[in-house]
Amino acid sequence: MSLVFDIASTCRGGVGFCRRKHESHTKGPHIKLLSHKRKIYLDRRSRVQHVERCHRSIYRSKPEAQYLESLSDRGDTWTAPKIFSLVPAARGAFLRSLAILRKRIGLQRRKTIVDFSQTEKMSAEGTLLFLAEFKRLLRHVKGEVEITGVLPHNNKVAQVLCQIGVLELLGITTSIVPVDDDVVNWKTAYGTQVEGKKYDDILQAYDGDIADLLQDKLYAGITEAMTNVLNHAYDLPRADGLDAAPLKEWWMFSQQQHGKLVIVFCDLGAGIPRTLPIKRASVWRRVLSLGKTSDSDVIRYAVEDSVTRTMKDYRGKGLGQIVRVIRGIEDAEVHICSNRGVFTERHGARASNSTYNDSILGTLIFWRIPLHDKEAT
Amino acid sequence: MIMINVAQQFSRYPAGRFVQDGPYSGEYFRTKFLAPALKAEEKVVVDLDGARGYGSSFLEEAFGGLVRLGFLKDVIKKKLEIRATNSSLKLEIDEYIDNAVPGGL
Repeated sequence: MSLVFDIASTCRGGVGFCRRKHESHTKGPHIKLLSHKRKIYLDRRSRVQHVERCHRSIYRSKPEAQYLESLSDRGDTWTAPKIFSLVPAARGAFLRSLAILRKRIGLQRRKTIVDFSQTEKMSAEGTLLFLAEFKRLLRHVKGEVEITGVLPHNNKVAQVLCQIGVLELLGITTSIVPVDDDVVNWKTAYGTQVEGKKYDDILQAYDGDIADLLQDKLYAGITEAMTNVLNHAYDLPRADGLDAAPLKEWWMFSQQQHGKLVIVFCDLGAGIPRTLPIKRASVWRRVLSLGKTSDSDVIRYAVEDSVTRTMKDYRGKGLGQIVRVIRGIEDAEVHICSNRGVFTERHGARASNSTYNDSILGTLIFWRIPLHDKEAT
Repeated sequence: MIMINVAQQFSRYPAGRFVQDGPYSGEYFRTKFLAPALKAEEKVVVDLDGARGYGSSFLEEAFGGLVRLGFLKDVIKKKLEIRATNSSLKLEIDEYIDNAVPGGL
């Protein structure tokens, strides 16, 4: 059995100072056994410091606040990106735009005209991330920043913004009414708790269109994602340079498009790569020993071990259940994006992962499931 | 014997692990239904059909949590009967009971 001693907390200012009163110091420093609580605290602290060191060495050394500072941004207008999406071709420009929005509203608290005139395409995952970020910023500034908007030229984009409530948030009154089939079926949900009822808010409409067993798996996967948000995602502050009040929020979209059901779920928490080392030490040690500490590798190991970041072994099925939703369903896919990493699993293909230079500063899960597959099990 | 129909008596939307997670968590179900029933009755039948689904956190905390609460695994398995059309749920619950470590709560 190894003994651990807490010299730091016992003797301060070098040898000779001791917490214990009325004892001679002539025999050198006193040492005492660490309490269990103290040992856990020190272990946890060392792991946090270690992961931060690793991440700093892998990615840019500048903290997010400095990154935001470096982004050029003039005038009163924030020009929304042309494409709201996390696909590789659009991801960089989209996330940079979000960072600028965060900087001017959240950090600088500048009057902002949100200009959608250049926007041509809004994918579900990009739009959900924007909506979550924008709502969080609005909550952060508590109405103290004047924010208005400019309508998009693209009619489809205008319908989407109307359907998901962004135009209303900006105080824009318009005659635009969502009528297109691929817009009116966009459903949104938001929560700060694990609320199974919210599943029906966005997916009840598909009862009968997807097999019962798949519905069971989807419900389990989505409520596990909510549970992860409540128990893990916000355990560390979000590294976005803002000092926003923590609220355990999640957002969700569903959309039917080209015969497929798309479901996107996201939170704006610390992200799996930052929380895993603290909550699941054994997996993190394995990740370190293999030298695979990129965000996407961490996500991959977390999924493979069905890890949900906790010290207790009995809490560890969440991510596995999220991925299992699509297993056995032809043409289905799931993507788990967290900070700079993306893990992807498609039916009939090997899982893959990619790491980018820019972070979504949170976790986003994306399922795409064919609607015709009623026999899926 | 006591019969517990989750969808009718508890919620059609069971989800979450702890009480603070949400309104129909595994911990709440265990505290309100499972533990009192297992203490009072020789046979407890839990019908899982009719609910929207079951996440692993809910099931583990509800059933595995019984072991951590102090119930003996043998006693739980002897008294408890799970009814579910989806037979994998029974296996999953068995696994959670088997893997739970006593006294963890």
